[in-house]
Amino acid sequence: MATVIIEAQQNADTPYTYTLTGAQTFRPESAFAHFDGTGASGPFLACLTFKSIDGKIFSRTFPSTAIAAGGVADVSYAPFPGGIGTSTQPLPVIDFVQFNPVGGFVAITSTDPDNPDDVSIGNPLPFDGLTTIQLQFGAGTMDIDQRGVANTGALLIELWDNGAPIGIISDFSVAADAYGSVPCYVFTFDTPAAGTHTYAIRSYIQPSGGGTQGSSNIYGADITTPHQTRPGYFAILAA
Amino acid sequence: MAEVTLGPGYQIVFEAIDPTTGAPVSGVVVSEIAIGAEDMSGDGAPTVITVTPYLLPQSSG
Repeated sequence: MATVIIEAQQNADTPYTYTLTGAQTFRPESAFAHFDGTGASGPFLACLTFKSIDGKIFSRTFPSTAIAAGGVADVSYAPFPGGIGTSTQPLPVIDFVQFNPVGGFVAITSTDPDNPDDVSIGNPLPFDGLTTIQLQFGAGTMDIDQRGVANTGALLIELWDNGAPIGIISDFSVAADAYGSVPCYVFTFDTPAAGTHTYAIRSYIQPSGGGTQGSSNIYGADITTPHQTRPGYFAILAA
Repeated sequence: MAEVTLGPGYQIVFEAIDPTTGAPVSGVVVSEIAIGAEDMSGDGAPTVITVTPYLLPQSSG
């Protein structure tokens, strides 16, 4: 079978769509495009996307590094797919810290959002200011025991970057005079500025109405018996 | 995925998206597009297909 080459000879604004016509049926093996972001409104990923007849995306491929606004790039795609954002290629893990605290859990006692308890601290990592990362925190369970307490209680988990809070990623609440336990697997995305970043998972409690809060914990081990608990983790993934 | 076969009606899209939100980024121009592909039609069609996204209006005369 012959090789088909499709060429676009002039400039086009993105998104530029080519729809297969007639009896065209082919298997793409490589692709190339020149992206000119001179007038771009912001940094961008140069994507090659395949859509089915009904317009649904079934593949999106792009280089691991974003192109800055004002930048230009020659981008090759081969083989398919490549880069993050596809369903068949895993995200590389660039940092992984096991959450397996002494005693099996971290007791959260701080009520100060600006001085919370440490849960898991990542390693310092260098970034280029363009790379988007995915941050994951997983723990078998977290619980709040408000039995005998006349107000609701909450346990909040926040992501920190270089010693500053950058956003809550989990808020778990339990009603007055109740006990609650839920698994804790959360993730979020960030595009850190150029430089070294140390991410951290930190937590504090928030009893309502100036009340009190019972035992509140995040577990990395020893949830129950007879089976072992898989350790929790704090991981950072990128292309 | 390396074995995906595209047929009539399928779309190949070159696009610029925000690395954080996934939203389209405006003001980006793409050119020099070339796609190498294995012809699966078996119909003896031309092996080079030219796509001209911005054709000038043709004269009616």
